Amino acid sequence: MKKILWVPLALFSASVFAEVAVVVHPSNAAALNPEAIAQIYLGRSKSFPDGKAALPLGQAEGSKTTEQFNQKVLNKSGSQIKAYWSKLVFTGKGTPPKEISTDAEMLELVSQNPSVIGYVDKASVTDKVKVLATF
Amino acid sequence: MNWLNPKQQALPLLACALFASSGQAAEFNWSGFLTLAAGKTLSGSVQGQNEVGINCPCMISDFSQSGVIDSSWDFAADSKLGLQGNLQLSEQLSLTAQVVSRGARDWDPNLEWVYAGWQLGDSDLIQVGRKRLPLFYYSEQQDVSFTYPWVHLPPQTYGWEAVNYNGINWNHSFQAGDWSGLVNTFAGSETRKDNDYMKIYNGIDSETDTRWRKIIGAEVLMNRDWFEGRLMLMKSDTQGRIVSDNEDWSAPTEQMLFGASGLIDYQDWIFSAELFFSDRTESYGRDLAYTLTTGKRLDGWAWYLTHGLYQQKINAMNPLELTTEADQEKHRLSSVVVRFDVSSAAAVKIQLDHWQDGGGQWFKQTYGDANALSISYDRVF
Repeated sequence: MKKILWVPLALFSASVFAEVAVVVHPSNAAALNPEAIAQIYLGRSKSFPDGKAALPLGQAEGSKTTEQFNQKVLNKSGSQIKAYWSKLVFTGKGTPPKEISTDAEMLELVSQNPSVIGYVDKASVTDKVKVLATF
Repeated sequence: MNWLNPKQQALPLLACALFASSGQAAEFNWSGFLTLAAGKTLSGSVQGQNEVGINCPCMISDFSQSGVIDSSWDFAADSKLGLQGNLQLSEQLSLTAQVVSRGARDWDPNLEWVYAGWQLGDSDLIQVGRKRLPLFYYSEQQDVSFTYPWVHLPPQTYGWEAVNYNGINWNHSFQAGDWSGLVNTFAGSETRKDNDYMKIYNGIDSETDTRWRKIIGAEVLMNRDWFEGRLMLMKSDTQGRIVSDNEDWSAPTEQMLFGASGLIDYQDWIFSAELFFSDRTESYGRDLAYTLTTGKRLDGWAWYLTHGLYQQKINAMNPLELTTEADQEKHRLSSVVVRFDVSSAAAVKIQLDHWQDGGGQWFKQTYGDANALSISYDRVF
């Protein structure tokens, strides 16, 4: 009986406490606080503190990683994010970050381009990228 | 653009034709929005068909499109379907068009936005064509009901005869410490034939043209974390003619419009205030409008309370020969809205409105007081 209770509890804990890592190219020396990361992902800031262009990439909406990122970094639900970008898209004021399908693809793109900033499940991080912050 | 599940289509032939020399591929995306809204008045002070031909009790929900909720359930007042296509010709140049079909206009599709955008570096964007006139905070997104709390925008503030304009605008974005800002400067003109707004006053079968020329204005938006503030100043000439009465264009009169708004979205609480003034001394006087809203998000639901006022001040002597007793308009609207997010791209809203008239005889006898119930399904795709 105890085993039956512990298995779902362990799964629940893993999903609740999964961490998101915000990653950049290893050559990127930027230090960004959560507010600065949010500004880039909301399209309000287009560059890193050193003035170099920042190209944010997202993951599929509804994915666990995106949900965590929205809640912890942007402090918004999926619906609020959709409403935010709908406002900008239908008024010609902006377009949301491109969506990347997998952590592996995201890591590959980040490792190839110093302008790119992305986020992945912390467990997927490799030494090809630099972790800017975890949430 | 992979957001909102858009159907992305390559346009290889067009791309080849346009960019054969540069080898750059054009990319076409489309997206859209839908509001299915049913509304009905529950009670009111005017009964039967009023002077302009509407079955009362009745409540104006959208002045600009002559959207009126009347005494029977229907989808006409606030329902709409919009489709937007965007052709990205290069990193700098894009073409955008948006067609909107409204219940208030018998679902006739209308090309409401069509413009070219030219991105100049990271901070500047110039757009030329037909766009929404940014009179109020929610003006530009007014058709995308999913993006705001209400089934219909507060009509006390969002009720003017011009909605769009043809012209040019320049968006300049900037950072100031922890603040991000946007300055949008715009100029152009708008002639609206058979203006739906005027049917609210002149009759649903009347035909009135309006014209705003020499439009010039600017809005400034400042964001920081949970706060957003906005200021807007605009001036133009205005003219009108009642075509169904064989009138000629009236002499141009100048108007000055001013708007200010603040929005706080802190944790699960929302507070917003919007204020609007007009100076139309050359035609009749001044207008004041405001909307105050408070809201709370709770377990996928959001609850909102809104109160708005529109008040007209007619000068004793005015070229339109309006009188305070007969024509001066003043009304308040108190609303309760509950919103439930069905998914990240769809919401259901229920809105209960209480309209109180405090103006001159004509408005009191034509529309009067009313209570109305509206239910909507909003979706973006």
